[in-house]
Amino acid sequence: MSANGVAGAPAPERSVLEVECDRFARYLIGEPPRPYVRDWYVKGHAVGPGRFAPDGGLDATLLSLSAWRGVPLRALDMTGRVLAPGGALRRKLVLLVAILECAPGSAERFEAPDHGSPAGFFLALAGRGLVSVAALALGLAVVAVARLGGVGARGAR
Amino acid sequence: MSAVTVVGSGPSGVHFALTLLRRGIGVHMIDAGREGPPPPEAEADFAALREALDDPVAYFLGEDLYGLALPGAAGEFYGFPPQKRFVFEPPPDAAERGEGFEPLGSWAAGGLARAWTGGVYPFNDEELAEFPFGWSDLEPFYAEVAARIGVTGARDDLARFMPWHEGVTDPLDLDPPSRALLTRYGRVRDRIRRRYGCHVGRSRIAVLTRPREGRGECGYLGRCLWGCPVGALYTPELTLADCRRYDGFRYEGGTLALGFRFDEGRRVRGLRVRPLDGGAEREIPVDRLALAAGTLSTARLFLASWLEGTGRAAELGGLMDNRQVLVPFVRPALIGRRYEPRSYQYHQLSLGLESEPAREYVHGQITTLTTAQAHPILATMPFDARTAAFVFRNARASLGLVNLNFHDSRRETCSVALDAPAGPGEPAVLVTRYRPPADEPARLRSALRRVKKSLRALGCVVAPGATHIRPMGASVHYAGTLPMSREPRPFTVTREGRSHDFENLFIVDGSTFPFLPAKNITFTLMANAVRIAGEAF
Repeated sequence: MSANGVAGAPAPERSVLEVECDRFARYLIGEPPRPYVRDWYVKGHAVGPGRFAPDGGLDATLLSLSAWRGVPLRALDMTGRVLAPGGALRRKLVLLVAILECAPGSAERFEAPDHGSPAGFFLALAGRGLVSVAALALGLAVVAVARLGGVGARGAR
Repeated sequence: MSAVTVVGSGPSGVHFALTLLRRGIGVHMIDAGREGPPPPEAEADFAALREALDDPVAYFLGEDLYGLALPGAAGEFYGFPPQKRFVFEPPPDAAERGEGFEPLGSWAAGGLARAWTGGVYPFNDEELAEFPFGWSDLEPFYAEVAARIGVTGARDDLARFMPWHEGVTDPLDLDPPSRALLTRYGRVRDRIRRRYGCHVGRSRIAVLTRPREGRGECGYLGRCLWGCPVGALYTPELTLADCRRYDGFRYEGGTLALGFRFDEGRRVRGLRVRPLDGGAEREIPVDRLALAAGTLSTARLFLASWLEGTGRAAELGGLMDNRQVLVPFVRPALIGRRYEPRSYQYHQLSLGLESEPAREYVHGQITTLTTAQAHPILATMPFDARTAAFVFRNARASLGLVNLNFHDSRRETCSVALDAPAGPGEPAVLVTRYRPPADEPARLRSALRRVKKSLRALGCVVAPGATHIRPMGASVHYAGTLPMSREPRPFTVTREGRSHDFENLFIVDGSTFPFLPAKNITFTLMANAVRIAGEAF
């Protein structure tokens, strides 16, 4: 298995990926993706299906949980950043970021600053840092319970 | 007089060829010559291009997501976009293996410089000490090349490391973060020069600030990485186009040179070639052969020919490359500012560190982040993706990178060899071996300490653990395997690039450099090729 996943693994169904794309886009930019972005997200999985397959049990758990609306995506993302930085969930999110930053209508989300001053930025960053730490704690707890319950044990998308 | 056969259309090959053509000598150029797609929407800047394209994701990432940088991917990240893929696409049987070295080769028309960042830095007398000529011998050829390609720069603090020559035009307009950095340098200049031996100034860049000869001036479109749409940033295929205007120039693109055949008197008689992507071999008769395929491809040709002609395998020692260290920095004062997308995209400032001896000068190219893909940076941040996007868009205008280059010397432990094919029908494997010098870690540490302190004085912060030592091979400034030598030793060449092993063979690329200063070598490759064409023919 390469760092990019299981070579030759089948791509998930289009409908599953579209739902996933919607959820991830709302998380990243706060709104649903345009059809162009959604189409490319699906196409991205078809181009290299193995690149987005989970590498192992933890990776599969994170990916399975990401489909559950009851679990905040930030908690799973932060947990993935710490425990599986090259994992499938992170790779899918980076794929979507890459598409969004190229696409008219969403590129601005990666270019326009929210704060006009360094002080405002650092204050906001501190707040976000606290949220991220709380998200990590929640994510770790959820993942631990899910792993005990066997979530993702049979693989995921 | 019969034509000179030239292998390769990189910076050395095209300037060597153009000089011969101007002197009335015919040139038959053999070249792999891969080409890429032409840049679309020549008038559009980066943001407008995104709007104008039917499928911007296909353009910026590639239909097969070639430009996608995923977390956890193995290997050095180069960030080449899909438009530059052709530069590095090898022929089907170009087998190679690196030991302590990650080789990059090119089979493109124009060679590796199709993907360069335009830095032009002449060597000074200290750096030329092991060459059989000095600055005063080379200066007219630097001026000649500058007149051909267009070089911008300023006579500032860096001129002490990079001699001034004719043909340098006014520099580009600085992007706001670079301007702010240079203004700050003006205030702390004496302190960082005295304490850290660090000097900052304008980069010298092969870009036009005035239109000429069918090339446009830099329009600050922010598209340098994807391919300058107006030809302002020089790349060697522009000179190849100049060569093609001469009746005496015959160009065979899509052709791979495999080796030369020589007789018992060590005179080269023919060049074996075949179509780049497979097909029947044939032999081209040769009167005089000039190898300008780039250090590794020239070594492959030389070694294959030597093995075939003598029955003995050889190893070429002295392989050199610049060690590069990447030092990302943040300038907190610029956090929250909007970045300026209408900018020249590559480095506009450079720094130089004094060293003792002077030839061990350390050179840094300072790039402030303007237009670029965000996702490779977001993927490495220690945050969740949403927070990473927040940090990136607010800090974007404050981000920058110093790419430090270190000199290299010829050592026999660093070499290129050709391993026998694994079986019938298999290609021979080009093996590059590299072992860093023992004093390298101490030199790197010392330079990094000085650079970080200088950056701090310039109002910048380097995050702990953020520096990245690139693997050898990553700078793609390869040199030294068939060096110029005053003594007629095997596997060396004369001052005029004539082989000491074969009377009608000339080596005109970086293979002949006996020392590698900490500077981008492309400008010197071109100047030296012009010199050889003038002195030897």
